[in-house]
Amino acid sequence: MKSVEPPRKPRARDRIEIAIPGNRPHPAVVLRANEIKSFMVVATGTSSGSPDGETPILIVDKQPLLSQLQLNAAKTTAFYPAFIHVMRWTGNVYDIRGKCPPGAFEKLMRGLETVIAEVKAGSRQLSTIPVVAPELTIATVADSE
Amino acid sequence: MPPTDWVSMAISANVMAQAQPRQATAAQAQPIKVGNDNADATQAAFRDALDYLSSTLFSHLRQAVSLEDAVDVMLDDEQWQQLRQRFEQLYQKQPQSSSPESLVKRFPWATNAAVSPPVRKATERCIALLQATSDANKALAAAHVRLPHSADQTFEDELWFLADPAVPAALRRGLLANRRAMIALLATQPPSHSATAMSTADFKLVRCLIDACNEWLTDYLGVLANMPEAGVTRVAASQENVLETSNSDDVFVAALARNEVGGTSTQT
Repeated sequence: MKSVEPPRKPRARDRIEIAIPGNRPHPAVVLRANEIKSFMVVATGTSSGSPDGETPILIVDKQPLLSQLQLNAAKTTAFYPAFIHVMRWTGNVYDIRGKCPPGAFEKLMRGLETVIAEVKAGSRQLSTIPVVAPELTIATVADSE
Repeated sequence: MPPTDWVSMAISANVMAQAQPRQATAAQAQPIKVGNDNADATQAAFRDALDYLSSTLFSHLRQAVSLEDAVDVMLDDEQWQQLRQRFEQLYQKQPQSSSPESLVKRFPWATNAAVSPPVRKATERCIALLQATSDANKALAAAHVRLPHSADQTFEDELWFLADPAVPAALRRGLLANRRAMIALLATQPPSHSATAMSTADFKLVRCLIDACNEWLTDYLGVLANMPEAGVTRVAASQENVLETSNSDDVFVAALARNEVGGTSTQT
């Protein structure tokens, strides 16, 4: 069943898919979307190993509620603190896949809090995703229903 | 302060709301009159779908998940989809029965299309949520919270809190209009026709109704959250506003400014 609602700007907890430069599209969850201050914080999932031995915030296994958070050919999708990115809000209209389940989003938000604390303490730097319009075009994938 | 239109309307709505549960109970106790062997299975499938919907929704609501989140999870739930499809498949084998009385005839001002059982059940859930807000107001009253409004009819009207000037006028109208419509929908539920088709279009109406209630209730709970005596915490505060007051925006803006020219991304 395809959605007939017009596309809208992403908000917190939306599941989107972003194109990270040099990589295939990754599933992402919008953690913050501040249109006034022109930034958006996303947590992107990955199927590769942990960066620098980090502990994952959330590992999404194959289960119905989280099926659309998975990578295409991976058993699990992991969300690491290193892959919490800040990107410039450009007013792009994204293809919203749906909402991240509340429990998973709560874990991601706790991870974001930890990351912010580390950034304020100076032990971590937030990574950013450069905004290039064609690369941030969201792939259109029909819902599985 | 003389009672305004909405106060009298709310009181009459309360009377109807208190009378309605007895009617609903009687309607549920009456067996469905359908002369088809498939009727029992259809009714069971309808109940299964409805019970699963309600248990899923309220299990999340009890965990302080916002209504919108709970509905989203329910929409993603494969078991719910399977139950819904099973009911639809069974129902298609039953003959269509005409309703003895139309909703528009009795309540022409009510929603003209929202007549299906899921919509009615959703309205019951929404009324339950409204009831929860009135419980919070009873807690306010028990704590002897003084609000800047007339105290004459305060404790007779469940919606007395709407006199609080902190409640926006749009929210006040929305709550009252919504409550009125929901009660009208419940009042028009015929006891012998509690199982009708659960189509996708009907389900979208459920969603619209829940969305509207969610919007109004979220705003109102936001008002109540500023009153510690109400005992109401903002729904899913950890999910929406956990960072609103932490000055974390400055961290993000600084990160953007630092990497304005070329961002870093090492993800694979």
